[in-house]
Amino acid sequence: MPYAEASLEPSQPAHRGVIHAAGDLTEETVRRARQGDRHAFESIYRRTSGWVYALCLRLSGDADKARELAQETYLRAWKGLRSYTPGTRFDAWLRTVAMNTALGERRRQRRRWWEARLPDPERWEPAAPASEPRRALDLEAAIASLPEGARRVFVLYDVEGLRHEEIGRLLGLSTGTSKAQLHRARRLLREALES
Amino acid sequence: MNRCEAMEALLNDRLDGLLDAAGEARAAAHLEGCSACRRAWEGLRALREETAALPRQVDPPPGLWRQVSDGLEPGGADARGTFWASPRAWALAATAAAAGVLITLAVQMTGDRATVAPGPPRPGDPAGVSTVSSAGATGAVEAFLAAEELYRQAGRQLQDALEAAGAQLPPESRATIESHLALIDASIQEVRAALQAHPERPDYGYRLVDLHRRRLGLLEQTTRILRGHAGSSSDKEVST
Repeated sequence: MPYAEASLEPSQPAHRGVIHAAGDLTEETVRRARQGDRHAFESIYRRTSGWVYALCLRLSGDADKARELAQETYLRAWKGLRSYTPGTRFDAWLRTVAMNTALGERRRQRRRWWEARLPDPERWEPAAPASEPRRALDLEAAIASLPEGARRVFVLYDVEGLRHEEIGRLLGLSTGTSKAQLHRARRLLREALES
Repeated sequence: MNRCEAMEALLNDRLDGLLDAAGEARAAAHLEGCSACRRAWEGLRALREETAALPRQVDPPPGLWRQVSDGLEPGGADARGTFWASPRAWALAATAAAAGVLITLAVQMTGDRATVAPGPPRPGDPAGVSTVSSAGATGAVEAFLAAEELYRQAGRQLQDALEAAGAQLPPESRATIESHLALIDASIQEVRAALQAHPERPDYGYRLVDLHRRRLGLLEQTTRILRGHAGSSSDKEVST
């Protein structure tokens, strides 16, 4: 396949279930962006910002923070495009940038992995009872209301499709703790949605 | 823990397809006779379906691209090149050279380690450790600490470079590096405190500098790996 026509649309999912759309981006678009072509980079942004923002929003649980994280993701991507290997999945590369940015907040706050603790159960505040049939919006709100640790694991596992081993490496957790956080998140979500 | 509490992990594993045949049989047998767990199971399945139906994309707020665009540095990633081709790399080299001069100065002030004057024995001093007279000790400690400051500056520059390149670093590698740095930093704190408490002990100074060298070496090695990765990506592109 000619270099310029190689599609960046993923052919195989790296993880269970989730493939993010990279639109009709081509290697040529990324190559031009690497050389400083802002229009090419804007093309990348237009085709990917929907799921990048969704990922940042769900991981942070906060719209203002998600905006900052999405912005930071693209600034890092612009600087770090050299590290993208042509011929590999661009969406997977960009997702790694977004995850590192969103989860890096902890590092910037000088928190270390050994300081990570299970969130205080008292902090959980169930979403208000739904007055109309449940919709995706209710679930989004309930996810945003989860304690940080449970929310991150739930989003990474159930929404993004990562494995517990991968989540453990990302968050500095043991596999057992990752599973415990996931089970807790599901329990809290069920309680919130059934209330 | 009653039987139903123990079922939470089992039902979650069942949902994720992680159960073996024995686990599956155990879960099925329990669900057969427990209406509360059947409701929990149905709730888990419904949650899974709703999660799968969540939109993959959410419209970003208006004006986000403008913010991104305003923050883009001029030139592409290719034009910026690697850290080692940047002016910051030259500043780092100069810093390291200056640290070397200060260490040499510290060594000269402590004198030839074979001829240093032994200080009075102190409780807890290991036998056979050389010490220097108090006259030379203060100056040597200052030189060691000045050298340390230069190493710290060089380390900060490399850490800034790594932070900027953080997107390229696999999470597991980053976690490993952070844990190694934390161990070295803890040792540095201990040795620095020992040197300040016992300025007549040049071996603490050597140890302090050695730890900083190791720390800088770790950061340099990481940066070189990133440089190699970027270089191989570039090579691959050219040959495509």
